[in-house]
Amino acid sequence: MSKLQSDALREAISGIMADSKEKNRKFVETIELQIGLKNYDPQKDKRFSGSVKLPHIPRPKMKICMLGDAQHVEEAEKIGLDWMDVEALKKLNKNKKLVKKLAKKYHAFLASEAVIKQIPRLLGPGLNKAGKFPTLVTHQETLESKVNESKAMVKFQLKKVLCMGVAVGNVSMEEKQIFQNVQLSVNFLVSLLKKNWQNVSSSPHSIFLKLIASGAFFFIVLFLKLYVLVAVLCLSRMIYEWLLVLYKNLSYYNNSLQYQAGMD
Amino acid sequence: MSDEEHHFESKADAGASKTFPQQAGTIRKNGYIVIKNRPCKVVEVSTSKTGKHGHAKCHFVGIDIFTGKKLEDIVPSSHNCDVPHVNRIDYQLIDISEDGFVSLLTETGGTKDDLRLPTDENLLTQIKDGFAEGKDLVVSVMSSMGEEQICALKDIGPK
Repeated sequence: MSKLQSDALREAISGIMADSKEKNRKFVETIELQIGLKNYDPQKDKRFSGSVKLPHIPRPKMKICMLGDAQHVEEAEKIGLDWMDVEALKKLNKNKKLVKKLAKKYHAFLASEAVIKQIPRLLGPGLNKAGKFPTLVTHQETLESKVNESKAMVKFQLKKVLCMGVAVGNVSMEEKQIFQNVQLSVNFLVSLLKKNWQNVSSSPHSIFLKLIASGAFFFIVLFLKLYVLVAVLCLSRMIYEWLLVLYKNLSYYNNSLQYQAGMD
Repeated sequence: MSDEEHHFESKADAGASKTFPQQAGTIRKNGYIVIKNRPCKVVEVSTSKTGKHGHAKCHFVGIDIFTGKKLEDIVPSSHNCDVPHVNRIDYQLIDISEDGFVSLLTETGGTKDDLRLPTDENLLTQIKDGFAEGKDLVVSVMSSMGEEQICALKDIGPK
């Protein structure tokens, strides 16, 4: 497999949307892309991590908290963003339970330049263990644009397991938008790998989209199975055409025989 | 509707060379040299001139900056040797995961998660004990020829 099959991807997305409408939920479901790697030893090979901004925001209701200095706190108040300043962080006093509770409360964190250097001192490893280490925000860009950019970011990080999952969309988006998000995500991931497409496992369970419904998962479509199906269909069509040609040849032969008999 | 293809260039450091050439006779003690494809720090240099018509030769004894092994090489002093680029960067320690990797805070505010704990026992215990006590630690990371390793540690007290 040298590349993601566009047709298979489109069919997968259509299947997901159809299934989501069949079994309707009372909230907006998230579509997550899960990827398995092969030929990759987490202990030996060099680890990687990278982030990419998707063209369409997959989780518009993402909860973000600003850990800011005085100026950023003021901006956060204006746009209605949750915030904590250094004094509030100091009150946590590196308490592991409180830091973990904070990490669970929000999906992502932003931090001012002055604050981010103090986070290992103030909070310890809690945020990093939760995978929610803050993103740096400078004063040169507006906080609102940074918030939207943070919502559109997906992070690929290889740690000790060979599977990664990232949210790439939700069912209220158009299929074309989901398609673009998935394609960009996969292409970016492939660029991080040392052997590019060879590291993306070719087993049927390697890349698939699934709906997340707070703990219940629905496996919708497997790309490679679709690929095999398409291949079988093409092969059937070829066989059919070949049989058609053979039939015509036989008909011609029969006609020749009849003609000779008529002469006699 | 045409497919919108997004292509990312594979990660590369702009094609910068890992080494640069330098004449063997000008490499001194405490310099760097590549011996048997390993970056080494020179701990001993001796020059010898052989016979009536021979050329001067330099005998280098170097220590691999990552593994600590001793390596030797003899190079004619007029020939060019490879000298590795060696960088040292300081990072603030954020986390130590159970499988022996560390998370570091970079200057640009991101995290760096691809570094393994050092193999040096003394340095390893210092890092682990300091982290367990909740100290603020800064580690020095030496990088050369595509390899990186933690080589030093210092404790910055609370400001």
